[in-house]
Amino acid sequence: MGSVLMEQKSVLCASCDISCSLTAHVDKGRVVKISASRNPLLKDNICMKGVYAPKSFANPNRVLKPLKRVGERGSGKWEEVSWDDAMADIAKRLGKVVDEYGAEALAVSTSEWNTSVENGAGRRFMNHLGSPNWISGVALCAGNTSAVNRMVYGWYPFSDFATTQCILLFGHSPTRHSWTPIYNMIQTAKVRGAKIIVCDPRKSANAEMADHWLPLKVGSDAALMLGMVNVIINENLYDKKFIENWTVGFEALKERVNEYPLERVAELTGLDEESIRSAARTYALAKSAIIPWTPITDQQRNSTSAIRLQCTLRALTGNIDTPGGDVFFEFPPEIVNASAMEMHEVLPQEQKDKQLGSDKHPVFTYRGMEPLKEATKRVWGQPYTNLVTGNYMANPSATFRAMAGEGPYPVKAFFVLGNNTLLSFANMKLIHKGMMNQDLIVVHEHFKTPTAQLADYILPGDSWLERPQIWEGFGWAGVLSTSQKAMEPPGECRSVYAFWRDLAVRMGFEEAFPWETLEDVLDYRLHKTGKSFKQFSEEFEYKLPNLRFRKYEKTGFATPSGKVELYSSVLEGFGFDPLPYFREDPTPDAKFSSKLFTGLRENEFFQTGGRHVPELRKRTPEPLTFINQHEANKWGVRTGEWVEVETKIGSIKMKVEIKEEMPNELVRIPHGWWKPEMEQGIGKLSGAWQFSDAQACPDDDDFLDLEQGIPHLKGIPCCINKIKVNEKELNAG
Amino acid sequence: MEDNNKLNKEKDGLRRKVALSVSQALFSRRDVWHHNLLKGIVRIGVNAFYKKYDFMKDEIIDADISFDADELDDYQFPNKNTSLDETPEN
Repeated sequence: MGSVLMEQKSVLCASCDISCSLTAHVDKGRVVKISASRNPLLKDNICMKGVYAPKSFANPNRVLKPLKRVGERGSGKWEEVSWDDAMADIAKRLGKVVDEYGAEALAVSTSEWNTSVENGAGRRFMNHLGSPNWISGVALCAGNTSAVNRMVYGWYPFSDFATTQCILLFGHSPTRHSWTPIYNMIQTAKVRGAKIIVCDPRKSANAEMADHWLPLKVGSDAALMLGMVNVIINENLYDKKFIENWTVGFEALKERVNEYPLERVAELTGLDEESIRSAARTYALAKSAIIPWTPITDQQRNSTSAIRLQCTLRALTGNIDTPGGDVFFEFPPEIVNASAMEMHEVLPQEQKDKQLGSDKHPVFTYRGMEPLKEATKRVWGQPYTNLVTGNYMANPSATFRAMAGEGPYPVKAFFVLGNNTLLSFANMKLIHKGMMNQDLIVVHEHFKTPTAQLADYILPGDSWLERPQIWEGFGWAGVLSTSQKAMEPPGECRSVYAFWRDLAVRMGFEEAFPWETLEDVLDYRLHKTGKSFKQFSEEFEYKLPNLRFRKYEKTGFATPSGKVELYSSVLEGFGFDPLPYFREDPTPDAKFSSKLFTGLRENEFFQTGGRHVPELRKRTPEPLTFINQHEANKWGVRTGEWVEVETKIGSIKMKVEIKEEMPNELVRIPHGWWKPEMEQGIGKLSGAWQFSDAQACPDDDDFLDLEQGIPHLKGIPCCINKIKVNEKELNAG
Repeated sequence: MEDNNKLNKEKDGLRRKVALSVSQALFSRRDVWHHNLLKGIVRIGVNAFYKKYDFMKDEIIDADISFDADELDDYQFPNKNTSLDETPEN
């Protein structure tokens, strides 16, 4: 392909959540090739999902016109309608729900990437309407981490991979085709001589090359860290000056970790004492060290404690906001940041108080962030800072219960943008029940996902090749980057901004959305630079942050005490344990003697997406469960056989693959499986009832983290049942 | 002592400014000669590094995959001879 002669555009990939900077090659108005950035430093940041994106978005099953449900919900009967007719009806029906039940009866679920690059528009709309009930997958993935980090030291740091001397990884194992830039940076750091410590039950590729591999019991990360903190304190390996000047609660923390001597920690984690001690010493004695974000500790019944202990380790060793440590990147000063665009200040307090789940599990809700508001304004210049979009969320499980009629008030309208909600959270049966109980469901999507199949309207969304975009690293990673529109959206696909603005105009708050087009809003966000988006994007691939370290020396930390709160005044105020702890698993039913670990990331797909791309699907045609030979013998199954992985609330069908790096008793399954080619509609949902992990994941109190209310996805008691399957019948639905 | 600290801070500040300027040039889309020269020099270094440590080598990426515009159009609109600016029939 003579791509040298073709027009080239610089784009940001949204095939996953990393936002790699790539080059789109355009021929006859189509993107025909995706290659890496021309920037030599970014030349390897590309994976197979990006390469096949032109084929993905050209799929013949992509929704290209608004579709209106004409039969019963989930009947699969649709008619094409105009955008104008669709939006007029949506506005009318939403108005009716608001009149009857109040604005809080609208819940919105979005992922902020894929179809949704919102420029704050969704929250801006909700805040003007009066609904606090916004949920997202970031409740289980980085968004919740950012909220917990803020409770400890007021911000969410991003790791300085480039210069660090030590990397402590909790289960996170990026590969060449999954979290590619992180994989690249870890490998490069290793070559540079940085020490690598991997805490992971299985012998992952990172564990293979690590200086320390700690094969802990699944879900025991918090216990391991209590042991590491114990070693660092009792061996005097901590940064005394930092602890003295910049923390509160050290003595109380010391007392707490003394309740976790290494003998006890070894028992809780299944590790030997010496390996814990040795890893703790390596981490503490490194000249600089990072603990990169990991989804593993986001999804456990001890999540809040585990994340707090990561913060504690950073603080004890003085690796906060330092070169080679975990750095507080500021919002890019050149733009109006997304948090400001969201206008949380206009949502009345009485509506904030209604946010679902905030009474029982407040951490990432408005209620949880309220004690930090003044300090945040003092240190970071604005009271609302929605890092990774995850700091002012409703609790997903509480929202689904309200949708199902089991909450404090009804939720009767549900908008879903670029998010396959039904398969994306625990307890799929509850989510399904909630969706079937709605007066209005609107889905903005590329395909008829299982979630979209239950909608009243499916609105065709644009893709990352078809829109301009600003990316500010979720307010976390410090970068400001731009993506140029490489091609026109096919059919009548529109941006999510166009959706929210149109609805706002129809609902009577046009003044809050003065920018008619997506380009207009991007120009506004960049107005401080004196440049239009077009000019700015032609000049900058990335605008790097103005690196400043130890900013707290001038401002203090954005916590109520102005210091790192090892003893959390915020959690104490909500009646929780102000110190980190480890809550042991409940005793499982004897039937469920293995432990299910969901969230296995397949290189070919991202979350519930990507299974419609033939070239990628060919590489992984079926969902696979990974177990070792010991586990296979225990359940009497062999590689290639179909099994049902069963938990107390549901079962899913998978094929067995035996992997020797897996430990005994662990059953790893992939997240988000459905088959776009299978029969659609209620009862079928394109295979979601057979293959989606969401129906095997419980969300009852035993399996929820206390402070956040997020489900335990790393170690659910399960069993494996061998089944006979006619693959032809199975795939027919 | 204080003077030394001040001097070190100034040196640090200068180093950081130089590092940021160089990095910014690498991350620039401006087609100017000194940015391109810098990118060329860095490219040589980066290529040499990855030649020695081949952890980013990959057969899918190295295959340099591309698609044909007309074939993509036919794929998306199989029932109609249409182009992107026309409304397809679903």
